[in-house]
Amino acid sequence: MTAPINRLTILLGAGFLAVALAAGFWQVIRGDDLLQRGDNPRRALLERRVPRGQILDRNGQVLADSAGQPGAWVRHYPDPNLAPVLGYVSPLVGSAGIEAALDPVLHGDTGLDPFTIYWRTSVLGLPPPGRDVRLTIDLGVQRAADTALAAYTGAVVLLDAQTGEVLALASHPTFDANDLDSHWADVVNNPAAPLLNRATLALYQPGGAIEPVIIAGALQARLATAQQIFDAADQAVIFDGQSLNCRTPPTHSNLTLTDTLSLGCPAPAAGLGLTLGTADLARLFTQFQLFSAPALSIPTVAPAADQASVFTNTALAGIGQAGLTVTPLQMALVTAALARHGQMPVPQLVMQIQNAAGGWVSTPSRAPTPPIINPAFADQVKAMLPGGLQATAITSSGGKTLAWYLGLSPFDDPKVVVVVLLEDGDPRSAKDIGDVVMQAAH
Amino acid sequence: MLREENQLFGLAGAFVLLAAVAVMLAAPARAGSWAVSADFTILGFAGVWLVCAAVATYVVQRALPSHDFYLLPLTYLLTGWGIILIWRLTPPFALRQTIWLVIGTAAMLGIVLLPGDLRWLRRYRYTWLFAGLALTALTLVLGVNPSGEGERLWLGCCGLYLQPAEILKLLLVVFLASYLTDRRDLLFQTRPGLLNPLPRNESLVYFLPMLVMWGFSTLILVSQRDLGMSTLFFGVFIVMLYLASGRWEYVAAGVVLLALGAVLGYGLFDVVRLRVEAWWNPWADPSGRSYQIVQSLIAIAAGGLFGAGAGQGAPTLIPVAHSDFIFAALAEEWGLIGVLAMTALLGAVVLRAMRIAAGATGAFGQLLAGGLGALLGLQTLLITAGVVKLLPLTGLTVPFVSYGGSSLVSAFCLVGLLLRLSAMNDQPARPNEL
Repeated sequence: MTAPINRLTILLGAGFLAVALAAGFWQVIRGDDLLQRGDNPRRALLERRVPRGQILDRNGQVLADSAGQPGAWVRHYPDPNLAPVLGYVSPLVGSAGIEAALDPVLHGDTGLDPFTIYWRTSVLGLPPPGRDVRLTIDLGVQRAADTALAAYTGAVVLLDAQTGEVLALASHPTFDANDLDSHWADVVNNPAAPLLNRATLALYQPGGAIEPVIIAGALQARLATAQQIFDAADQAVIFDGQSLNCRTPPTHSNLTLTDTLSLGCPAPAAGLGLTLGTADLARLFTQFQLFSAPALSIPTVAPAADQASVFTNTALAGIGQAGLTVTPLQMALVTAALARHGQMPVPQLVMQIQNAAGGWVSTPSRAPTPPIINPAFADQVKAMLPGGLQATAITSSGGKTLAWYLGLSPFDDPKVVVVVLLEDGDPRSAKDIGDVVMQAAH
Repeated sequence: MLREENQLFGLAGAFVLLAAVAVMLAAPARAGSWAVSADFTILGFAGVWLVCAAVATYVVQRALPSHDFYLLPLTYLLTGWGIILIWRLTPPFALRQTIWLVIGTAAMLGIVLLPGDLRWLRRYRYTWLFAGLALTALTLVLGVNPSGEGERLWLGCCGLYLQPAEILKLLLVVFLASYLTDRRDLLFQTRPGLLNPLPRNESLVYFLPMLVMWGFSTLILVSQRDLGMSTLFFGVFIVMLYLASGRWEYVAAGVVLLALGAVLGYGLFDVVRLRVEAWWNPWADPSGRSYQIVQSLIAIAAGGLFGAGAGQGAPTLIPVAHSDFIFAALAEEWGLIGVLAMTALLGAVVLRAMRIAAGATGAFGQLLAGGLGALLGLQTLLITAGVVKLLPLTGLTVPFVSYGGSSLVSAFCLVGLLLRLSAMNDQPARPNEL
């Protein structure tokens, strides 16, 4: 019986070896993949022991901090309306927004070598303390935006037109990131989609809001001039079985481009779209960077450039009713470019980051990019928008009306631009909201 | 010999006491302040452990001077480590595990001190096995699950729960060893001719009692959906047939039958299907059915090479970590180093069992020691391989380490038998017996 016993011993030994190797496989080879999974709460749990860094607004007001006591720190957001920007961090549901984007800083790892992190976390059991972050958000402006938007579903973006700093970014309805674990299911299952950041991640039909871009394209292609008279400008445009008319009926029929913009008459822009044609429209939208997601610390989207439906009907593309959709943030950047002589800023949400020594390091300022359009044409388009631009768009789903407002202030030398989008609202309310928020920014 | 055993015991004691202090200091270390006070209960449990180990070593050294001197230090090192892991995961269970440790030590010493040789085990093999079967069958009617829901594999009274299958598995090994020893010649006589390894027709009848007994055991377990135990019983049955006959055909047939059983089980039982699917692709439903295995793999990954440190990780995130998944909890806090150490310790116990088998003087001793070693080895492999996703999960305990009273007592009885067998090896061989 000795031979079978020896063989059995070898077989069992091989089994033990296989188990040890498999454990090593998960611990060493696949370790990092597994630890980065969203359902691994260990990193977030460490923050109960060592508090996470604070998130501050541009004036040092606290937007997020850790409350409680050692061993039981809990993330706290004094102003829950900021959830679309700040996001959340939780051992159970993971993280999002600035909390996710700047996690290495807020958690305290950035700038430390792996050995120090290992030594402090695993040997001493005291992970490095989290570091603070200062955002470009101005809490006063932000509150004004949230208050104004409270009754609506929609978004507000207010940018410093020159630097691209985001002073306010609101999306409603929103959710309370405090104690999120306890009401996570409600938030996820809410049909109003409070988790969706409508300013950066929702693609909307631009409707009349696209017309400044179309006019800029027509100007640079020498297809029109600012003073050109359009006869039959108040003609209806047929879209999807309904006829689109001027938002405000004109008192005379010979309108300039400025008039058609302020009255919201679709016919001239439809005509310009038709004249520009597919190739020029595609170039124009690319020129205004409508196909590239803005580089922001929090996630952004852009429509796909290759959607054939975007340009099949160039007349509808001219009035923003074709396949092209945009985010409010993109429209804010377009408005800023037109307001600042064709210079489109890079949007920016993070102003300063605390280094390991406790000092503040500013986000490097970006080198000025070349204007996206000849400054002369940008100035001509801007001159057509003395009261900002109110516009409507008809959505493909159920004929819901979107209301847009693009505003710039002060008009002579715009310092800030605002974009307001309301789902199922009227442009007048959008303008009121935008004006209130711009007022707060001064 | 005895001096070596004492030295090994000293090492085991030093390790367990140091680990107990480390895990006790983990709470204030986690908070980073002495305001959080340390819980001293673990030192009490470690003390009870020390007394048990010392008494057991003293008694066994007196009663069986020529016993295998690796077995006791290995057993106690593993149980001590287990209590520390359990205390860290679910503190109230450490008290119960310590009580079971005392009972287990007593049971082991009882087996060691029983007068005479192990003939009583052989002689009454049917009685033993029937007693075990009856107890196990009783769970079909009176079975409960101490944690509330799940398979009802326990018999409960007065706050203590017994899982009869844990005792039955030992009795099955005893029965098989005894039966195979007595009927070996009849069972495995072959027809003339090299190419025909099958038993003669007339010897097939001698397989019947064995098949019936094994079939009974398996039937009860299958009707209880105790996947781990039924797989383990089958594995041990095949291994002991192989040990007795020396024929690999039994192993081959066993593997084929196991595969068939797996396919059938997959089709017939939801439990099997769920386990297999959760094993094959746990990432498909990480928050639902495969939550446990995914969290266990993440915990293993969190351990890395050196582990988070005793009490410093978050293995309590794995559901029921103190029992089936204690290996993952070990991997998180003690790292690959700890996994290798524990695997080596468990492997060493199996190896000692196999050495005892190889050195035993009679067929019964060889089969019994080999069967017990195989039982220990297969059980360890089934559960640890399940935790590291080499095999589908079968709910079994890691011998000596996992929380579970019956499992611990059964493991101690097993060690008691091995100690007896090892002590007989050095005695002059007696004809015909053992």
